[in-house]
Amino acid sequence: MTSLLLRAVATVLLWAVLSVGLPGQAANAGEAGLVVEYGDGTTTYVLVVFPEAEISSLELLRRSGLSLTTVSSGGLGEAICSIEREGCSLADCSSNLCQTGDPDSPFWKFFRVGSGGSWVMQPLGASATRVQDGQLDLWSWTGGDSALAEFDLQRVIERTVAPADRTDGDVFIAWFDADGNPINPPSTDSTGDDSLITGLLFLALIGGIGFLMIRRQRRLFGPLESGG
Amino acid sequence: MMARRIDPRAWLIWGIAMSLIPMLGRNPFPLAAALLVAIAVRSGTSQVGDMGWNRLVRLALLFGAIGVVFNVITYHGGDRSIAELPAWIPVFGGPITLNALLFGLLSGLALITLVIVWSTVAARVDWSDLIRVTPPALSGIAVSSSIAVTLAPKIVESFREIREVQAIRGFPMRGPRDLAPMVAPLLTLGLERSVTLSEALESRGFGGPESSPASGYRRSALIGGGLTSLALAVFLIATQRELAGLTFLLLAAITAWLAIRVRATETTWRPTRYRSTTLDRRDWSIIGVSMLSAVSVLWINRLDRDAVFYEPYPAIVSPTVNVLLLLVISLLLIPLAHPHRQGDATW
Repeated sequence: MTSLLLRAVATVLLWAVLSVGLPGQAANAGEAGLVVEYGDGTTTYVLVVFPEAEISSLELLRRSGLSLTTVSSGGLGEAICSIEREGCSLADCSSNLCQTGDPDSPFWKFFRVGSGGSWVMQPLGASATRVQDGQLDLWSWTGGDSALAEFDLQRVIERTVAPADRTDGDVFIAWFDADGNPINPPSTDSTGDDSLITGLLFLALIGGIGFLMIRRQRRLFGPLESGG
Repeated sequence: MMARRIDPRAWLIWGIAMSLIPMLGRNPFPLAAALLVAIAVRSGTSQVGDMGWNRLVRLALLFGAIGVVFNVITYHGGDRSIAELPAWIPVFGGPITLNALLFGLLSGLALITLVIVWSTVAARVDWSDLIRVTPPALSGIAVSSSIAVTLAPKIVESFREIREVQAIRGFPMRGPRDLAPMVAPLLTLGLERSVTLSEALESRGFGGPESSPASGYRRSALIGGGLTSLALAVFLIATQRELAGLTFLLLAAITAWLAIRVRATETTWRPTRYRSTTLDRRDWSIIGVSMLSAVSVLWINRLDRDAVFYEPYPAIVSPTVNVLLLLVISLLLIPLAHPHRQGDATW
């Protein structure tokens, strides 16, 4: 009975060690690249260093730090609706994945670098596709093919100016315009404070006019009428 | 001083114009403007019959709050995480974001605006007047709709009466457990009212047999053609072919009108009307201004989508403020522009 118990405890311990991973495994960090190509030609290059042997493409996108909107597509995983400010609303994304009836209407199309550096469209979504060390994903807001030429991870490393001593969890990111010049990340705020104050003033004006009209109505007929 | 009620057609067109903003987008500025206008018109034209509808507004507030909580715990997108639910919880596990909270609040605001608008319309419209102005061929639909619309206020009224009677008998309602003795009398009253209503309708010849069913196939063909045109119009507009879509929409409207005409010729049943309902200057001004506002909202939405549309995903950004849109929404205060006395509710 005791030996049976010991064997059970040993099995559980072995399973726990294997599932958590040996301490030495973390040293074999993987790194993968991510290229995001927006509709206006602006491009973001990201290098993500991760401790796992592999992660999903969706996890790679999330770890990149880019603003991301997704909707659940049931067993197919998550659908990408928008990256940063490019994409469509949640309603449009849920109903038709950002596409309209126009065959050229854009959506977030998923590619990966194949042999020879060319972009190959991925048939599975971001949740089901696995990313391993050295791989490079491309997300392009297009209805056709990506405008980007052949690419590889080394060029992403160069563009993000990542140092040689990279550690787990590091993320390096760089933005380039359509002409290939480095730019600062675009500002996400679209409206100034003045515009907001104007909006609030107009709301106060509408409320004030409504209040005056109610007062006039009540002065003429009383607060609550019951006669016809 | 005018004592006549506002015509139901004017109220319906005002309601449709008011519904556009909460249905088209979630930009907080036009939403707040529409809510302010709806509250002002509701308060300015308040009447005794509002009491039953106020419960519906409170119910909308409750559902709005539930919607906010549901959105926060089921959608985890956005850049402003404020807390985190353990990932092992199915569906609910993940980050709780300020973005989801904001979207839930805006959706709740849209829901409450719609409920305030349509409960105001439903309380102000005299349904007998509405049936009177409906074409004779559509009287059946009008009568059925008026019965359906008055269902909820009638149930509320019955519930209030039963509660008062129970209180007189020394059985005040203190909590949900006291609801059980209310169910049987509520059901009995409902059945009694249904029987009375059906007898009243039958005695007036409602739902009698068609006098000339021979032309039924023409009406069926027109209805089929109209629905097909409508489906095509929706498809074409959804796929950015608006001109072709509007053409089919016009075709659907013409077919519907022809179907009504055919229906009118094949039945001899006519509702009895003792007085005609006409639109006066005030009704025309409400209809005109509401239509102008509705067309302007659609036009502004087409030119500047961000004026109406707003989504706090993936990042919370300041919403666009379109001053012209706010002015156009403020035009819908028009029912308050002419001082008028509202009658008591008719149910």
